[in-house]
Amino acid sequence: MPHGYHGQILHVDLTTGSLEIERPPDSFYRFYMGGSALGLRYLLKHTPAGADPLGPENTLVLALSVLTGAPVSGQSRVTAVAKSPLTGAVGDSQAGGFWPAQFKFSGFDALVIRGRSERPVYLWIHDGEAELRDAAHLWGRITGEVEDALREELGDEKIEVLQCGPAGEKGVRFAALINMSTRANGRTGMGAVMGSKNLKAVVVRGKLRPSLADAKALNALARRGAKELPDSMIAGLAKYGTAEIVVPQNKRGGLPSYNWDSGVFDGAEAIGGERLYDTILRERDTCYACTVRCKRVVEVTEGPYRADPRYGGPEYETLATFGSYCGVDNLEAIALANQICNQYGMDTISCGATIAWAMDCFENGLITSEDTGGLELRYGDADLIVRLTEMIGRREGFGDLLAEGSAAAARVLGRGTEELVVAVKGQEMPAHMPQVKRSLGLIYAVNPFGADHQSSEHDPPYEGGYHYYEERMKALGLTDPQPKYSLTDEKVRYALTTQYLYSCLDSINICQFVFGPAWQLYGPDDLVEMVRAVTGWDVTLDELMRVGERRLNLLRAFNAREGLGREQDRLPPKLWKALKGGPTDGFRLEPEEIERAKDVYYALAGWDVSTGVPTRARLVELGLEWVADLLAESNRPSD
Amino acid sequence: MRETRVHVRLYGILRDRLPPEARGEITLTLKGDASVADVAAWLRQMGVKMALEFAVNGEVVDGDRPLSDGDRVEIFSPVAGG
Repeated sequence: MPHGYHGQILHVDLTTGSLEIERPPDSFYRFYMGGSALGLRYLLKHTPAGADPLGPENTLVLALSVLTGAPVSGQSRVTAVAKSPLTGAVGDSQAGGFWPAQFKFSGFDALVIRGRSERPVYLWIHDGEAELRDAAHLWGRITGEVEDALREELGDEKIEVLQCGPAGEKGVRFAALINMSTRANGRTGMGAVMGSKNLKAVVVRGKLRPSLADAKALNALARRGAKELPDSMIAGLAKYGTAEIVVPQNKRGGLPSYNWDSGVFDGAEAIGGERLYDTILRERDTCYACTVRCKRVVEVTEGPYRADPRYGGPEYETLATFGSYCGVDNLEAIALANQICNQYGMDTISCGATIAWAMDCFENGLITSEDTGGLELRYGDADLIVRLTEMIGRREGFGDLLAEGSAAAARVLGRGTEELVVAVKGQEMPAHMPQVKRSLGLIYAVNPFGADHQSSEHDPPYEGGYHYYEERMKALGLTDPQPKYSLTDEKVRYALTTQYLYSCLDSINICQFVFGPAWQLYGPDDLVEMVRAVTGWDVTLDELMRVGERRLNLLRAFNAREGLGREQDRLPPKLWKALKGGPTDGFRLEPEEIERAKDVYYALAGWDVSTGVPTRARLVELGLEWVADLLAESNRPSD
Repeated sequence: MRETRVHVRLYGILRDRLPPEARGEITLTLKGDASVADVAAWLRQMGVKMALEFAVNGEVVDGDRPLSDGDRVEIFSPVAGG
């Protein structure tokens, strides 16, 4: 028997209603390890090039890893992959919570979903068994109601539910998968894919816990993390949540404000972590077996923006996208917008950023109340962010257009609205500014599933900041800190190297606040120790990095097969314009700087510099000859 | 000896180093030619081990920035991600 995983992958064909169990060999698990890399293997095999993301040909994979469910912080995560309805490129998104661990205990390591059911169904997986059940009575209902109904129907309070909300049913392009009514596979529209399949929910429960190779070593690692947490750089995350960084970002001039016209927001303290802690925080929440407890639960019992603690609380990204992006300094309104996103199942980043884009268009006279159904879209309007969020979730009125995402909505409207879109490959940019952290400019551009802030380490440790964490960076071969605000060739190498590590983390499904290359609770050597303790494999850091390399090349290969390459690795025009105000007044990126960095990056990655496509030699080197063959068959040869 | 009085505001987890009613704010009197390093040393003496970032009068500065009487020093622990 393997340690850490079951060796069972559940395949569901919703068109035929068939359920099958695949039992891959141990070598398969060691090659992909889980999460994104494993999911992409099935996505590439089962989804033909050019498939409609919301059609039955798309494949949705929910993948755990060989570590999920082990009693240590940071492991209870699930990766969702499919072709993205938001970008038309590969879709990829991670979420934490208790659902991932509970899915593991139900007896499976991953779920591969194909086809489309004729009528709404949900999947009930428990103790090694699975069945499709009618979900007509759940269709159209918000997440909390669905959880309640399923607990009653199945007679078990301890089930965990991952679901698409009403937004996913209605094909909102940035619809999320929601578990616990609070955790989101938020990015790239995975909720819309699930909704398009008439699959309302995946409900899990079980007691099948895989064995551990070395429980004593894992326990020692877990205890060490708990002991070191109070003096670590994530101690603030534990107490204030990710909201803690609103104010520091603003102090540095790195808090995107007014749809990215500025890096400072006068209302930052009003929506920051300290204010949240002092006013609306009800309690802290955590993911299975995690000592960090970084999730917030808020409650607002009076006034126009009452927020139900059942739906958690806003993260930093949410506070920024609905707050500073939109010029809104009303914390309670942001908490309610966050709640609506969790009820309807929407990505708070794309939702808030799309509203900010619409406000920018309106403020600049590019759209009028004739376009918006009479709404005046003004920065700072707290009522409006709440109202528009609900309209998007329901696809009502102007919300129906915004539900397409800012890039697609701009294509419909035209009139120069495209110039104000802040997205890459159609995915709205998260709240970390490449003008301040230059390597993010490169990673936002080249990342296969669009702009993403959790695909590589950010610049400060590359520049000797954050205490530098010299030993951890050295383990990755990063020994020469680079100048602040630079995008040198060496910094490009730093970015690609940490992108490989983060790609590994998204394949072994490990939280990037807990394990990482610098400021996280645990470093790369600890990661090796954990994988060894759980699986018994004699892995090295090099082997784990190879998994990350493999995953990044699989993502890239998927896009290549869709005809997407270097041309799509483009930053939005706003980043070439000077920021206004604060310490980053006048900061902007140079197009030539990014193009040159892309040259260096593609060459280092082993990809064709002119197309950005992985070469056959590179794919073969990574053991992915079948992917090179796939590209050749689809007339997108890698050479 | 010359003294420099500065107003200090601590953010995030650093607030916990002061009584709750202080809400992270305190006035410090520093002796001699004061700099941000002296404020950092005060925090280190209280057992703070994590990395720190500083802003003086609203501007992010390096750890050796000289301080003048009446300066407003803000201190936070840098965190990436989110």
